[in-house]
Amino acid sequence: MFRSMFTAALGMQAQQSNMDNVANNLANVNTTGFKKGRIAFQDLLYTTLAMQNPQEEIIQASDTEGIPNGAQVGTGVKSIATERIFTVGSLQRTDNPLDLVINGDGFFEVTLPDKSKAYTRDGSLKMNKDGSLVSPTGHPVGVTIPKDVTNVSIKEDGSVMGIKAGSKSPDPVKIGQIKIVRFLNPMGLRPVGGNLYLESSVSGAKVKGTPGSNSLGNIASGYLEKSNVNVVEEMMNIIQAQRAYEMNGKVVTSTDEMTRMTIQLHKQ
Amino acid sequence: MITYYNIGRLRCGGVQMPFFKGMEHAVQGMIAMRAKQEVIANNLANANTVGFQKDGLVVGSFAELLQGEMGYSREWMHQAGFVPAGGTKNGDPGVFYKTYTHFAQGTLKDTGHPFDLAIEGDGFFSIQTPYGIRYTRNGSFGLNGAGFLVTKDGSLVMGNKGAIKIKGSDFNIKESGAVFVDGSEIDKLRMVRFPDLRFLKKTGDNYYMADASGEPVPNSKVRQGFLEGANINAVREMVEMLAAMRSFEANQKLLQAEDQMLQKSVNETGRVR
Repeated sequence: MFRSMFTAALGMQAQQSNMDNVANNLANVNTTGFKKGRIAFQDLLYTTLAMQNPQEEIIQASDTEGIPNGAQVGTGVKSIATERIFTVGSLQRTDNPLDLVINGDGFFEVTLPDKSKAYTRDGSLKMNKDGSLVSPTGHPVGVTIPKDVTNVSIKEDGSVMGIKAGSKSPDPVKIGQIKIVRFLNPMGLRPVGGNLYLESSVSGAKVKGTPGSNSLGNIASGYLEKSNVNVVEEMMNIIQAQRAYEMNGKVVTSTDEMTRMTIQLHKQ
Repeated sequence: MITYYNIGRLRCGGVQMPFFKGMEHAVQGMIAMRAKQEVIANNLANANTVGFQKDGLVVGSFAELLQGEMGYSREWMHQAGFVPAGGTKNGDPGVFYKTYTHFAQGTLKDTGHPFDLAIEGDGFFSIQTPYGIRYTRNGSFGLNGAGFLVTKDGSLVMGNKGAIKIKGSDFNIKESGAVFVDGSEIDKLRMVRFPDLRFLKKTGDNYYMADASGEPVPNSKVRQGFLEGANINAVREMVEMLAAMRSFEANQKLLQAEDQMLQKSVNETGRVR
């Protein structure tokens, strides 16, 4: 009797996790470089509805001879992972030449203080006091602007251009190159906060190169990538989660009603 | 003493009481409806589970199934997959039920993730788990540390040539299930279908186990970047649940009525002054 109540309770918990995920997505709808999450669910073990009393001469519902099972019932649902979806977010124009967006696959590679590499989609670059281009978290991208260079611009293929002071020609020259990295399985990257991701054993083969080559995306300068959260989609998810929560709740009340009816069989 | 597990046959001191037959049938009906409620609860709890195929429960009474002439045998009922509700014994008319999985295409959802696969049509993916070969419609795959294509719980996805190792930076699956890495075909996903779906048994974690061997799938397509949703129809489930509850209630009322009748016969008619 109470198995359906527990199953429904697990269903309600699952929808609650669903809502938590939607809430997080919507809270980050304006976060630069945020990638929306989704939850993966799986059903639990199936149990055979064996008869109440094993002493009776009743053939058990479970079978070992390949005959279709008589009566099997599931025991609910569990969430096994929260995954990040790496699709391109919406673009916001800023006109700041150092605000970069990767239009397509790829991440900016930054160097952490311990010399290891981290990856980010957040291209809101700044120049620190040494002239080095750094990510919003302060980690260097690998390109340094010399002190006497002005009018820094960045082209689609990641070439960093500038005009050297004292140069006769008004045309910018190339002073550096931004390379980006893409992964076979970006969902396998490990998020460490600050929009940074670390490579993991399951993120797959890594391809580093010039933007635009080898399926790597192009760089658009003067734009920022907002989150890839689709507000309409999340609203639908809210409605669906709420209704599914309600339906599971109805199973609980209905089972409760059936239990009440059973108890009332013995009316004094 | 009348104990619960004897209630199918209501014995008093070892002697079966014939006038309890009406109650027996009602109790069995209640047990079957309770089982139906559990099946519906599981369907609704799994509304968001990828590739979930809903279950159903059918109730049959012995008389209908038998159709008169055939000699009733336990084996025949067993062969058809029915189980007796409550304490129905060999030779008794009674309520039988069975659960089944209703296989139908779920809605495909576009996710854009290259490791999300969905089957459009018949068939299952073949997965090598620590417990043996299992089948699933859940195409939410990933990579393991050694570069093999795996399910989310780490089991290997099978291609026709074995486990699929992805050594490269581009991964594409064509609609035929052919696996292309960096532009060259390395394998084809091992998709299987079963002509008699009753031989599939759910084992949890979105897996199915089969006693029969499967055959290749002629017509289905594999869609990369899509996931299949659960095939439950919420309205249908709610209606079935209502029906189960009302049937349960009807049986309960029947039991109460029988109880009252018995009470009258025992306490009033048969009163000994």
